[in-house]
Parts: sequence; structure tokens; C-alpha cells
Amino acid sequence: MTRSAPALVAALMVATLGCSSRGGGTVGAKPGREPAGEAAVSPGPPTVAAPVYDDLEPAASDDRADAGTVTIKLLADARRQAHVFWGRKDLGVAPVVLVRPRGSAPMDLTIQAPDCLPLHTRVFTDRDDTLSLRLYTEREAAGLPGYSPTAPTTTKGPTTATKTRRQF
Amino acid sequence: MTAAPPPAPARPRPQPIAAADALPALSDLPPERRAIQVVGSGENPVDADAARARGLVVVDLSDAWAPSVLEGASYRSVFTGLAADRSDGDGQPIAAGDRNYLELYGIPPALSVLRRRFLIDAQGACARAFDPDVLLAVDQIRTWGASTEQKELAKHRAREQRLRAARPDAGADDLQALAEGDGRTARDAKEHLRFEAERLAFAEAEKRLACEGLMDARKHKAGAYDTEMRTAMLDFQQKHAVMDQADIKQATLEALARQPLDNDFDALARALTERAIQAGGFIEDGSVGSSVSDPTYPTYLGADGARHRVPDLATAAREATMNALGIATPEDAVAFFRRHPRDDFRWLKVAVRLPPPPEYYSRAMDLSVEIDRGDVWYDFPFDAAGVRQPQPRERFPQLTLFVKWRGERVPLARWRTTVGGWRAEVASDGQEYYRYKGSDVGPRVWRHIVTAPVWIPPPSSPLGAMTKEKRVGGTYVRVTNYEETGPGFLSAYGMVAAIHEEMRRGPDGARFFDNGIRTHGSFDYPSLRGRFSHGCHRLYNQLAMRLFSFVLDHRRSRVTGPVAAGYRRAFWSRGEVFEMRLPTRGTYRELEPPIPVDVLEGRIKGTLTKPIAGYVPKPGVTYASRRLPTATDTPEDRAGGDAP
Repeated sequence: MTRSAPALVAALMVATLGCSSRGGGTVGAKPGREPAGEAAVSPGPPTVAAPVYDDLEPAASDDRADAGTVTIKLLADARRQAHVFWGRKDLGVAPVVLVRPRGSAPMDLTIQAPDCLPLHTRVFTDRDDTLSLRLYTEREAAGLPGYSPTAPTTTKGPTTATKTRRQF
Repeated sequence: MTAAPPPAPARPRPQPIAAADALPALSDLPPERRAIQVVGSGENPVDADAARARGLVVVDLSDAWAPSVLEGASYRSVFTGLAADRSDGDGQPIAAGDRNYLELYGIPPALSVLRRRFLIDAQGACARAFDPDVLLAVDQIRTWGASTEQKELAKHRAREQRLRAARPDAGADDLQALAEGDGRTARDAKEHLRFEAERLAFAEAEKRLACEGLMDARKHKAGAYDTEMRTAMLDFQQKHAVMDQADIKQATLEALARQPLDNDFDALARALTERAIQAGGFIEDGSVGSSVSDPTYPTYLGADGARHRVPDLATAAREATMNALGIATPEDAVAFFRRHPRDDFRWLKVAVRLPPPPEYYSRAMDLSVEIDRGDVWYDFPFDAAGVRQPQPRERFPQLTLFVKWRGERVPLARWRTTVGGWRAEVASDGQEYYRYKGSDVGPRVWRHIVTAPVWIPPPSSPLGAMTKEKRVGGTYVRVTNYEETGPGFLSAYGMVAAIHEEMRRGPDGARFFDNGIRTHGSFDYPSLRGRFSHGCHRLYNQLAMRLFSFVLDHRRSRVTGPVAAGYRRAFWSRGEVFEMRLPTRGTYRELEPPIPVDVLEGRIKGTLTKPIAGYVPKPGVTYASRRLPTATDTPEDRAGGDAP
């Protein structure tokens, strides 16, 4: 069975609905949350006059030295009309050329094409790269590790990995 | 009712800077050439190069600091972003207000992060919010899952009713008097009093977590160790480097009972330790003996013919750095951070008179390593009836770094590590078996040190943990999970690894064989307290980075660069296809010459003197076939990570 593009989008949206409210930081060491600039509970008046600081939060950038850019080409059979997404943002139909700061964070991309399963891949920014996207129909995906013909299930909340890594 | 904060322990006052070390104040230096010197109650900007020329060491206090072993690795910027609460493990920005508490994972907070903690805690909102005496009145607070917790609370109430009824008959004035007797009623009374004390301490812990801003009291049910409080407790423990993993034991209670500024002060001391020992190029941390006053504490022969104790340079370097900053108390630290706005931590450095390196130091030290496997059991840990058999160990594995000096092996650092043992593993038939995953014994070498190493998952790796949800481009999507593969602090190989290679000499010279064992950092800090690895020798991430930073500082090496892995694997998960792409195995450095590593067999316990090869069925499991699958033994299998 294959899926239509709207169904794929819907599937992606269902997958995104189960997100954690605490952000998607590192597993096992998920970011904690503190209020900015003051404690959550103030049981009494402060014992000292509290100076006001407007620079307690992390600086926006790390002043990374300008290391130039890298060019990443994403190739796919043009007949597939494969859209490359970064989150919700549609970066276009493959072939797509991305120019990113060298050494910046990797990008997790989702490729969606009619009659194909969504493909999740990652591009790295330490060098120029060309990536040929291999898209799978449902039938082709049957040969992949982990394949199960049962209907996909969706879960809410953190993944198994998140739960097991965050040991209580 | 809250108690006044306990008086701060006496700490030595900073010594004034020696006149010979004082440099002229130069206010117009560019940041990259500027260091500070604390003189009296003020600070002078001085020329960092002039400080070095005078024999001072410039300690980097900036948010750009990272262990030197990460130099040249692209992961370095991820490390500094994590330390400064700027970004996540992929280098992507974290949401406003999120904090990375990663010290237990080898990433100490940047000084701008500590500045924030000090300046908020100095406002005193938390100082009187809890009673430390109540927290310290118990040695632990027992906690349970939700349903068991309800049962325990119900048992407690029922016990209280029984004791109230029993007290008049026993002629006891109160429960304390009842507890001083014998018999079941007295035992019940003791347990009741203990439980009561724990509940009181629990209430103080709730206040403590809330006032520190770690727990939202509106989402927490008072008196219950619910998810909100467990999460807050784990954050608290990770923030303050307590290894209790959400249990509330003695170390957690002590941290909860301390004033926030005292905890901040300890965190600052730990962060400065890493920076100071790296600036000095040191490794000796006092770990080679139980006490420097112990007469058997290791010594080395000096040029003066006298024997000198192996120094604790980590402590000395930290104290020198804090002294140079004029910081002896939390209040000093608050004053220091008030003097320096956040942007100063883009460049801030301090000129310090560190202790001189011992005479055995050089750029090419004759280093060697010994790994003692400790007590080793080869016996299968279950009897014929499937009952687990105890396999106690008195000696645990440890790694010792030596330098050869004047014909003697001088130990510099000795740390707990891990060895392999019996592990459950998914075999090629998809079923789980036991297998003895031992650690190679005999002479080996470290020839390659790998920074930001990547673990390639073997085909048998379960797929369940290979995806996760992540915020991407402002929305949540499922992505391939690279945490266990790395590069990163959660990688199965940690942030740095050394490959154990077996050197065999032949007519064509030395040949090297990789038997799959590494000494590597590990996020899995509980495993360093008595669990088994898959054969590798794990170290706490921060110690692994200290060790290999030191090795690279004091041995000749060459960067061979990122080693291509070219790994690409597609798999199916819940109706979607995921690719795992691992372009490199990490940044390799080759040591010239390699460092000898001797892995000692340890003390073999039990009846078997050799390990059982291959898989052993798990007791109580019904297998599809009686034929056992063949076991593979790749380096990736050995590292194992979190795979079963």
C-alpha cells in the first residue's frame, strides 16, 4: 500500500503531536528549566537588595570564527518530485543545494515524495557533500531492517530511547 | 518554620599576589592579549604574554574553553555550546530557559553559566526557604513508584493507628519512649519515627527544589515523588554533580541541605580545577594513594637524592587559580562575578603562579599504563535451576598511569575503570542470550587516540532506540538518534577513546591488531561504580579527557585527521524510513611511539579459569532453535553502549 502526499503530511503531523513539552535536548541529560533571572518561589523578601542583571542568559552566539561555508547537494530522481523539508520548512524539490556555515550544526531533513515513504536523513556541515537520496516505496521498504507490515503506530511523549536513557 | 543558614565553613583567605609576579596594568590591550591580576580589592588588566614570560600560567576563564584533546575536532564547538547552555548535543540552539546540566557527563558549566547561578542565588530567595537540619536528620529518603508509594503511605497511617492504640497499654509517654523498648511494637515505633523523619525531610526537599527554580510547585502533588519532582531531583543532582540518579541518598541530602551559594562555590571549584590542570599540563590528582599523609603514599626519586611524594597538582593548581582570582568564599565569587559582565567571558583569562611541574615532566614523557582487572568471575552467574549466583568482588578494576623516571615506575593517577563480564546480547537470530564479553589480557599499546569518536552500531543493534523526537526548524519530528553513535558525550565511546592494539613483531616489523578493546570516556557514570562493560575500559568522560589531553601534551603525536567511516544504513520504523549516516569515525591522532598498556589478569574467582566462548541461553527463555547462533566480535560489539 502506498500513501498519498496529504496522508504523508498528516502522518508527519501526527508524529509531531507527541512532542515533549520540555524541548528536544540531549537524551539522558535533557535540558532542565529554570526561570530566567529569578527563583520560582520567593518565600520572603530577599535578604539583600537584589541588583538587576540583564545579561544572565546565554549570549546568542559563540562568536565562532568565520570558517566559510559548505555546499551540500541533495540529489533525487527528478520524476519523484521529492520535497526536502527542514522541520516544517519546505526547502524545495530535489535536487536541492544547501549552503551552510562550515562546522555549524547538522541538519535533520525529511524527504517526502508521492508514493514513497517519508525518508529522514541528516546532512553534515564539516565539508562539501553530495547526497543521493534513496526513496522507498512501501514494497521496497519491506526489505529494510525493522520492517513490519502492521499498521504504523504513533506514540505520544518521549521515545523509548528517551525513557530508557533518563534513568530514575 | 525555617532555620537560619548554617555558618559558612572557614576557608583560607587569598594570599596577596607576590610583588615579583605583579605586572603593570595596561588598560588598552586587545582582549586576546589581556589577562587579569587581582591586586588588593581591585583587578588589573595585564599583558598575557608578559605574564607567561615571567613564568606565570594564563588560565582560560572564557566560555570558549574546552579540553585540549578536542582541539581540531569539529565537536569542540558543540562542547562549548553545551557548556554555555547555548546549544544541544547537535549544536542547535536550545529553547530559552533550558539548561544543560552535563557536568556528570564530562561537560562542566561555562563560567558565564556559573555567574548566572551565583548572581541569582546571591539574591537570597532560597537561603531561608528550607531547613537544612531536617534534611540532615535522615540518611536517606526512601522513594517508590506511584502505586507502591500509595501503599507505603497507607501502611504508615495504619501503623500509626496501631501505635496510638498500643501506647497507653505500654505505659509510654510518647512514640520515642515506645521505640526504646523491645519487640514488634518497638520496631514498629522505630520505623514510624524514621518514616516521619523522612516525610519531614521530603517536605524540605520539595521546598528546596522549588526555591531553586527546578520544580514547578503547581505541577507537583505535595508529598508525592511524582514525575515533576523526580525530574527536578535529577536536574538538581546533575546540576550539583551528585550521582544518586533521582534516589534521595546521603549525598543528595547533603547537597540539598547546603546553601545554594555553597553549592555554586563547589561547582566553581570543580570547573576551575579542569581549567587549571589543563593550563598547567598536569594530571596528578592525589588518586594514587589514600592520603598524602599515608607513609606508603607513592614517591619518586628527585635529583637531590631525596624521595618526594607524587604531588596532588590538581588541588594545588585549583587553589592557586582561586587565590589568584581572590576567591576564598562564595561571597568573593559573587563579587568577582559582579565585577564581570557576561561579555567578559568571551575573553577572560587570569595570570596564575601555578606550582612548578615535577622534574619528571617533559614534552616526551616515558608513560605507560596498567589496567588491573580486579576480581574476575568467569563462571556463568546462574545455577542449573536458573537462580542467579552471587559473584562478589572485593577488588574493582582500576587504571593507573605511570611515568618511568630514574629507573622507577612512578604512578601519576589511578582511577576506577570497567572490565567486561557476562552481558545479555541480541544474537543474529534476534533472540537474547548471555555471553561473556571479556577484556583482553596482556601487553597492548595505545597507538591511536580518537577525539569525538563514533561508534558504528553492529547489525544486531536493536532498532527501537534508533529514532527519537527532536525539535527541528521549530517543530517536532522523529529523527535518527545519533546519541549512542556519537560524536557526542552520550556516545558509546564517550568524547575520547584510545584503541588497544596488540603489537606483534615479525620479519616485516611491527604489526598491529585491534581486538576491539578501547579505553574510553563514558556518559554511563553509574557503570563506573561496579557494573561491567562489554570489554572496554570506561572512564568518567572528564577523566578520559584529562588523561588524553595530558598524553597529547606530553607525547609526540600527529593528527591523522578524521577517518572516513562511510557508514550509511537505512531502516524502517513506524511507517517511515530513517537513514543513519556516519561519515567519519572521529579525529585520529597517532602516538609516536605508542604507549605501552599492560592489562593484568586480576584475581580469578570461582571455578572456571577461562571464559566460556559463544552464547549461553538465558535461563527461563524458550528459544526457537536449540542451535546456538555464532557470536561476532567486532570492535563495535565490544563497546556496546546501551545496547543489551
